[in-house]
Amino acid sequence: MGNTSDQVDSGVRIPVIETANSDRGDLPMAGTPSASALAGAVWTTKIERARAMPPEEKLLAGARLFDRVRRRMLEGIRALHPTWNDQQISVECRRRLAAVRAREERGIYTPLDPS
Amino acid sequence: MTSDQALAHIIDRLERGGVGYLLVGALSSNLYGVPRATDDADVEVSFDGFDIVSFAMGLGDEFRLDRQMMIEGFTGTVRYVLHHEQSGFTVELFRLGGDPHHQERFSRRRRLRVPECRGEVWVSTAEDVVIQKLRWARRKDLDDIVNLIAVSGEGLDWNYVDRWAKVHGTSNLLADLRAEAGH
Repeated sequence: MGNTSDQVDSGVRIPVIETANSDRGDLPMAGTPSASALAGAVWTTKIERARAMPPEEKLLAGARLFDRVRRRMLEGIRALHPTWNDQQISVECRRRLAAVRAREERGIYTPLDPS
Repeated sequence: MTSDQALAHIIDRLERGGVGYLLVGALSSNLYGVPRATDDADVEVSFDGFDIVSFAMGLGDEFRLDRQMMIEGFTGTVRYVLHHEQSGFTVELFRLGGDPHHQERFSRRRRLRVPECRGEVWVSTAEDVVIQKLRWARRKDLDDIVNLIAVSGEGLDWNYVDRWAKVHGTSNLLADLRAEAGH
């Protein structure tokens, strides 16, 4: 059974569900009944915590979570390229985010010719 | 300025300017469902008397307006993108057009008190989030719908959702997602 906890960042309480610990050897295998039970328990916990969050916090949570994700990305790029300066790391982060965005928007948006 | 502060700043400017707007997209699905990270905020804006260039210039040096306008294929909606350089967050402003559902969605918008935005903001209803995301139907949209139904499904006006799903031809998809959410 996974553990659940709260993380507080910038004053907002964000539900976090710890589903796996790679140091443990007793995790259920995917597709087994125990894995299914685990997934169900995680799902139920996720839904209950979302219901308990104040609406105004939920509205801004997406942007706050993005800041956390971006910080992790910057740390990861820095670890991969220890000789790069902050500017290079920032540019690479922007490039990666733009690539994800381009993939998600493919076939949906097209440039509008002002003329 | 963090991403949420950048968003709050833009909402504050819209409110002070008396601009008709509402928050849609991931912000609104987070509101009624399970919050997930998003690198952009979608805002539908009534462009009656609204000058996007002046608005962008009034936001300050931290923001940059993308000069390339885009058009969305499903509804023909025009999109402008504001970049917040420091955080990497973007705010996408969609021009309220003639799409019948968008018109009704705008008329059904509601107020939500958000202290960080110095007052109340206009948000989409939960029903209209589901209807719009059914039209997009990307993987993340479908996940958002299932989560929203699981969290808030009991209080939805399903007659309203069903009516638009029939118009958009998304009734079968909606039935599948409701079943997945256990609703």
